[in-house]
Amino acid sequence: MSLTQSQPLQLHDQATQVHVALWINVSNASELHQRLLGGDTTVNCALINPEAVVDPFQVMVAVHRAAEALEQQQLRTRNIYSEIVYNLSPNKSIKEAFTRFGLNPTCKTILAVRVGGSQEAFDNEVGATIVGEPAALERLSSVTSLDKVRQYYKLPANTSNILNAAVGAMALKGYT
Amino acid sequence: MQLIQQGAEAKVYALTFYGKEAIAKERFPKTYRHPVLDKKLTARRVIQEARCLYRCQQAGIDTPALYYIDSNRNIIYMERIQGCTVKQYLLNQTDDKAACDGIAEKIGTTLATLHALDIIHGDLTTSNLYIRESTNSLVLIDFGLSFISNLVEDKAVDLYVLERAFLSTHPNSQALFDKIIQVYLKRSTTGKQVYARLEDVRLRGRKKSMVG
Repeated sequence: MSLTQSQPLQLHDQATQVHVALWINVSNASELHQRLLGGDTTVNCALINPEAVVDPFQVMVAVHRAAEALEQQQLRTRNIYSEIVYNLSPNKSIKEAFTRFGLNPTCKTILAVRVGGSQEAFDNEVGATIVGEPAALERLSSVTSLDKVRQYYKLPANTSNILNAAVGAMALKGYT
Repeated sequence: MQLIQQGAEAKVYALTFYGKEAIAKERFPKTYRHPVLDKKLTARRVIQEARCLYRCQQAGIDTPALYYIDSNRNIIYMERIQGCTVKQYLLNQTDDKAACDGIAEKIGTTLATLHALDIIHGDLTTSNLYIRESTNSLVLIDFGLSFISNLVEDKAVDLYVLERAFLSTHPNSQALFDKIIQVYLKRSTTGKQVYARLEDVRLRGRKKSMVG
């Protein structure tokens, strides 16, 4: 059984599926990082450092905004996958977005996201790309560092609902 | 998407947004304005509303969570509050004094916090105050007319608008409003000045200048 979570993108007729998978004990992060830096489009999915991701909902909002930008030809980065990583960050610095939310050479866990295609194809291709073990998305919370989330999204220490506050900060990106 | 509310400024739809119960508030084009001006004004107001919403949320005021801003279509996606409006609540419990006092306490405290942030809600009515079912906390909604200001005048007018709303929708609620003001005075650092100004505003109405 696949551990990938798929749900429709809420644009138009909802015909496009978004696939999200968590991988742990990853050993080839530095190789993947090199491939991404080289502009290798065969990776064909967004590789996210899940350290500051509280919930898959946070990723879905970033995906939604990226898909919308692609359609309106308002992408600020190279493609939809880099845009997803970029959208997770609450500010406009592309470099900062990639160092904080993108894959880095020492990553042991990766959140892989693809827009479109079938779940089966995604599972096969990601399985061939990432060397590690797939894990249930529910384990995301054990990877998340709430301190990092608070730091990146500039949340006060007493924030009651971290997910909502982070998503709010993402929504206001570029408008403040 | 199901239309649940339509006003002069916006349409509100209910929907689920990636698994969350949400509403979409869409500001539609005003055909009586020049299209270029309309686009600019609408875009600015959408952002302003979202900003005020988020500022309040960060300061610990219970507001609907902001999910996504669609700046091309002027839609704000936010959390759908499960609960009832203070208006309904008060109409149901007119004789329960303790419940009413509790509400007044919450409203006074929330308004003091809001004004301490220099946020003016702009449209305080009992329909724009919600009681969250799960936590019983007071939720401020509809920041469509909100803006940032540190002027005593604007804060006083904000309270005046609430007073008018109270008195016109709930008979014999002067005592309740007085209680709100008492709490507000206790919690707000500029409360005294705002209250003094409120008395002026009461005499002349909401508009300071009578021009236009």
